[in-house]
Amino acid sequence: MTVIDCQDLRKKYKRMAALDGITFQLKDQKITGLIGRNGAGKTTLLKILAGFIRKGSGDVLVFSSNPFNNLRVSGNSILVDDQMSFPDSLTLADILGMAPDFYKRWDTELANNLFKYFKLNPKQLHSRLSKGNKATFNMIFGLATRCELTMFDEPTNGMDEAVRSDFYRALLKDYIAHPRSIMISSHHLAEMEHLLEDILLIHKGKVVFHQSLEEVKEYAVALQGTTDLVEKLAAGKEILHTKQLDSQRNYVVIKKEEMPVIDGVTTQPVSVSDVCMYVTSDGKGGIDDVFK
Amino acid sequence: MDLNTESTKPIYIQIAEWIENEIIADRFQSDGKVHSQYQLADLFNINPATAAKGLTILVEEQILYKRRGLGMFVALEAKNMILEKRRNETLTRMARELVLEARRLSVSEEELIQLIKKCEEEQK
Amino acid sequence: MMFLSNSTLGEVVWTQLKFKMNAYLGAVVSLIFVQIIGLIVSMNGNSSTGSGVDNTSFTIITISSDVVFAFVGIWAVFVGKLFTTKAYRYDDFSFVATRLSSNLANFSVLCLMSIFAGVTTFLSNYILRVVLLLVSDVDYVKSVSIFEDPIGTIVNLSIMIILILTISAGGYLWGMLVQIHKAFTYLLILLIITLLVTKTGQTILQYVFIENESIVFLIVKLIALSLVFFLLAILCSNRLEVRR
Repeated sequence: MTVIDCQDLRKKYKRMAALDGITFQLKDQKITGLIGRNGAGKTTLLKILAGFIRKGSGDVLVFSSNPFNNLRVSGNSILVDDQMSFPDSLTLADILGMAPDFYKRWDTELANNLFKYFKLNPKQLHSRLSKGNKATFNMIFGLATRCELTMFDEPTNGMDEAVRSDFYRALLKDYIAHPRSIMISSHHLAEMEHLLEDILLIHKGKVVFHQSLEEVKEYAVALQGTTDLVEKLAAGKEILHTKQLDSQRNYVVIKKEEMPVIDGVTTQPVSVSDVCMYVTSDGKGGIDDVFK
Repeated sequence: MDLNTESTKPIYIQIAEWIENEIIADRFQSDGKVHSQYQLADLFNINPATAAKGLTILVEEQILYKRRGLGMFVALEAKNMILEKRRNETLTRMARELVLEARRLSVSEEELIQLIKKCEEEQK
Repeated sequence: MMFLSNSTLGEVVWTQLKFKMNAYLGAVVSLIFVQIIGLIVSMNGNSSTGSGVDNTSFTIITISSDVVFAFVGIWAVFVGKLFTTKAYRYDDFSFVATRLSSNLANFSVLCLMSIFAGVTTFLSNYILRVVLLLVSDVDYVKSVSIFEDPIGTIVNLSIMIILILTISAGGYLWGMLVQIHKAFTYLLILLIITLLVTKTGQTILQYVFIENESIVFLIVKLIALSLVFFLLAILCSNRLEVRR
């Protein structure tokens, strides 16, 4: 089943194109990482999918309908982000108490257990929570809705390291027990990589690739060795990143292909987050070039 | 349980190798059931799809077999097949690396053989 | 397998209504506060002094709940406007909601609050009388009580409730317009001045409030006006985006 279907989706803010022709499909029951630099359009995409904002042009279908002003999409999807707000007249306990009326698959037990585990105060107001506790509460809320499409936009912002790893573990365990489509955008790709099945990488409002994590791991290879040898080997290949290590040696990342083994050049795998970073960098150089 | 996420080895291969290790150590017996993709995912804190890939590799190599609706089971000859495979693949690869490193360090063939013999003595 | 739950619009609006009645209790508190201020202002009353035949002088104090009603009217405008503010709209979208369901729920809340406001304002008249009896040296209070003219009382009460609803619906529309563009903040003030000062404005006011063949006709006109305000507000809200 297809949960999300975007065809040439575009969205402009004033004159700035936030989404510039996004095309991808999301099959159900996968955990997908939505990765991209700041300003790549991740948040805009998620808000359109949640029906919060209107699409510009192109097509967007969530559960086969346009998500904007659609009750079925709203009832079966949730977007957890740091802008989630609840009335100031309701305590956290009130909010959790009302949620089952809205979300038919709400898991009260999970919500209560996580609430207790993270030692939140039921009498607190949502707006008075610290940044980290707010993120934690929003995460609990998002997980407990059990929505068929659950989206997290930078869910771990503000959480400390222990809570972050607890969050990833809770997400995985709940996903195993109740598989559903989950989309997470995060800057911390390395720490959540193990959870992901697919990666959707976007850059400047366009999809760079939509592949399985294992494919991304095999996407690139790094060559390291004496400059002349490395350059000879990399000639004619798609170079993603170069770095001069010292006067004689350099490090070049190229798109992976069959390569002869040459003495003096070592080949190394490139981590998923490095691949994403190199592919979305505008120049071939890095921060080092600024200081030349 | 922890996997080596920094390793160059893809996670699903590490999963496959872990199951193989368990079979060699007789913790998974012939015709016995192995962990499901979900149990593995929980155990190793990884995506179930990744765990499934590890299982699929072993099914393709006929180390595991599938019983519809029941799960994955260890093939009768699984342990021998793994041992055979490891001898062939792993040992060959390690030997190749050893030779390469020896050449880089200008260690002669004779010296290398001496070294191996010495290691063999030490393990006895 | 995907498990999609299907809720009807009615179910969602009902759930939102329950949620809002809990969450917006503050608006009711502010209503009571406003009514108390209105009552205090009313206490002064309009008095006229005269003298009787036997050289006895008397004072007639005419009181009414008009002042309380004026205060409640202002309250209604701002409560309607309050519901359209970003914070209130965003809160809805943390749960299941569409713009239509949110608007319908808001309108239902405004209806319920108008009924409450109407009834309490009406009763404030009685409070006023009791307080006057207790506090000042008034000997006799004459009024038309609900028992003497039950139908008239109910009609008056209904008009009061519907008038409050119309005012709050106007405030709701005003709020939506302000959400679209800040310049609309001044629109209301401008509109009120135009209505009061210009001839056409006065004709309109006269048509709505005074030239009525029957009270039923007035009620129908007010309900129609509320619905028009409300429908326009829905049209406006469809332009608004959440958590932008």
